Amino acid sequence: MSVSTQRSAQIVFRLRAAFTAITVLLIVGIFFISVQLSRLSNAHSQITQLSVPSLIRSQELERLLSKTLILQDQIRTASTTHEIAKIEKSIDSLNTDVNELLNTTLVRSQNALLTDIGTELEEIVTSNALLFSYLTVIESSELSLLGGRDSLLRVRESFRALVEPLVIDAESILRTTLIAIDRETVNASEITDTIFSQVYNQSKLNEISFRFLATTELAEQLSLQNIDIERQVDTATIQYNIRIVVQLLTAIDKSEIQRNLARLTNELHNIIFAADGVLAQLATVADYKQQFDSYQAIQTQRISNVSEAINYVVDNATDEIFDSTAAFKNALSDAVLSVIIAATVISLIIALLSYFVVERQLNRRLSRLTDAVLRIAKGDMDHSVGVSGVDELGLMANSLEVFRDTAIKLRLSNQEMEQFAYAASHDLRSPLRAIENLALWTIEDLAPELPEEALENLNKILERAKRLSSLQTDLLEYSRAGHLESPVESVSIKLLVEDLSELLDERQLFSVICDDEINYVNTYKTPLQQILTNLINNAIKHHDKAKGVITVSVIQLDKRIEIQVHDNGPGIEQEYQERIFGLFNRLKPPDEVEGSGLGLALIRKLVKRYNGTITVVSNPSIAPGSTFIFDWPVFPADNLVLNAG
Amino acid sequence: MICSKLHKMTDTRMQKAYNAVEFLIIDDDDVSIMAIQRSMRKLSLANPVKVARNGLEALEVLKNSVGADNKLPPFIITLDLSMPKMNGLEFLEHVRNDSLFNKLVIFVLTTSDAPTDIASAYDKNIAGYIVKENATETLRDALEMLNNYARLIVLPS
Repeated sequence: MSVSTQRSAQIVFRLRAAFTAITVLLIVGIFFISVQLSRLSNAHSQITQLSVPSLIRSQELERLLSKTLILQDQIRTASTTHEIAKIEKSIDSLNTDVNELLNTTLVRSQNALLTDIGTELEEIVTSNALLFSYLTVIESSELSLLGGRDSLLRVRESFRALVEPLVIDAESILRTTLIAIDRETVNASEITDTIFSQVYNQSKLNEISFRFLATTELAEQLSLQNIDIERQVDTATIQYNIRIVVQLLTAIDKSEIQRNLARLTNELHNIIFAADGVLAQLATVADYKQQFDSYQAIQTQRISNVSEAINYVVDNATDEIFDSTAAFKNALSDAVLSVIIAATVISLIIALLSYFVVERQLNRRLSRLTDAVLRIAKGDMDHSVGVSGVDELGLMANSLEVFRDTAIKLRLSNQEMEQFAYAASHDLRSPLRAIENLALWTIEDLAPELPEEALENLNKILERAKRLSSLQTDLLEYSRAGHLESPVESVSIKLLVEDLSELLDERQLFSVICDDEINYVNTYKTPLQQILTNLINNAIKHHDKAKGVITVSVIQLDKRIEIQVHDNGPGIEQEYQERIFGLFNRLKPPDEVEGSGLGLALIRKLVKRYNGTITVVSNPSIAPGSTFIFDWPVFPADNLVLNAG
Repeated sequence: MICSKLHKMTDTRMQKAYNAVEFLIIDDDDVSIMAIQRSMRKLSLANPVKVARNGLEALEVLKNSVGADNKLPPFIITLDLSMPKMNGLEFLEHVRNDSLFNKLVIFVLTTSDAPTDIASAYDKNIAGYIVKENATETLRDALEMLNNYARLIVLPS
């Protein structure tokens, strides 16, 4: 037998180990998946908390930039009042936007570049205000120049108005004089002074007129063109002209006309040279335009710088969005891939464990062991158990082998006993028969010639031989009882009792009644038949009256039935009730009642074999009769047929 | 051929045939043999009876009975199974392998009721299997049957 007395717990251990391994694997898997998920989460928050705000900010900057560029363009090309008014609105709007940006988004950022951009934008906005102020100055100067031109026009017209009559007068006087001269109405020498003075005046007038008008035209032209060098030259020319005019005017006789002309000339002079005159205005415009241009250039540079910076920021932000989106995508695909791999690996490992530990070690061997147990229970001893090992299954299998060996030995011993019983019966039978026959034949052949004693002796021989034969049969039956395999059959106890009654009571002196509640039962028929045969036979044999009543009743007790055989015979005294079940015990000597004394012993052996008990109830001092009560197994209709072997 | 023979036979010839049938009792128990002989007497069977105590003796008897024409006279044989030297089944084996004896009509008359014995005997083409019980009625019935058999059945020659 097995050397170890301590029960091996290998299978339990292995199962525990396997499940622990699986649990550990699952925990590792969960941990791994958590890591992947947290990576994914990080990538996602990176996107939402950094890249996206960054992108939004850069987009705001770009918008601002484009606004600035548009404004810049507007400023550069502004000329009309309407446009300048629009610029004022745009400047205010940009100012507001920049301030808002500085106060909110850029304030929160730590980036040096963004701070610089903010500073630059601030300066741009400030410069815009300055540029705007220049524009307004330029505009007002130009408006003044417009006024100046109107004045020049007016003065010219006034001059013309003033001078032309004079010219016409002078011409008419000259003409009249000449005509007079011609007509000799006047004295030429007298008139000559007049004519000379007229001509002299006229030429002076012409020059004045020429110079005056030239000046106005020049001034007009100047106001329109405003080129620096030309302005200087023309200014000198104008000054010269006006001086000449003034000179000439002083040479002229003082008259109202001369005073008016002087006045106009003065006016002209003022228009051109006053502090807010044309020239002054022209200088302002030129000056301011220059300043405007230089500032505009600086502004352009600034804007270009800012634009570059903003583009850089935008590119960065875009790159960052791409990067973080790509990172997120990577993290996602990594996570998915690693989850798949982890799941596959874990499943594989679990499958392998399941196969090697559970399937091969346990399931197969367990099912083989189960098969072996069922096989042996059914009675098939021929195949070995087929399971080995040092673990629990192995130990069970070994024990089962031992049981199987024992069962085989038992079967062999039963077979030996069967053979012995058969041989005994067979070998005993012939000599017994011979004795019977010889006695019989002697009696038959020589009866009349034999003395009475000899005849009696021979009869006794015959009788004893018969008894011996019947004893031998009963003994054989007793020894075989319960050893033979008896199948489970469907039995009607009522019919069985009827058959037995016919067989055992040929002349029907007894009435054998069967009171059976149940119809058919599934049970071991042959031994039951043996028991009932013996009980009924006993009842008949031991009956003291010529006619008797034997009652057989059957009731159901859960998985067994209880059978009672009652007769109204003499009954059995209490002191003998235990003894009668013993081997070879008889109540009456064999001459009175035939029997080997084995009937009740046989019945008890059979009843015990099927796990029941038999008792007798009888009290002849009170009332005659005896009742034998025993219980017997029954099976439901579809029970597994286990041989009673 | 047997049928035509049957038709050709007249009553007398049948009588002759019937009378000619010999019984061969093969049994080692002399009381058994006595029982059979007594029963035959009671039934007034007049057929000649030969006895053999075992298979070997039986074969001898059969060989000695072969006629000049190398043919056996008609026999009805009762055979016990348990005998010394050569038992019933062995005797059957020999007989069925012999060209001269293989058509013999043999009834097994034995105490054994073992199914294996019955099957083995029938395997060797016996005419019938009778179990000897203690009562003498069986023997009487058996012999009556054999008698009727002998009278009615045409035996091979």
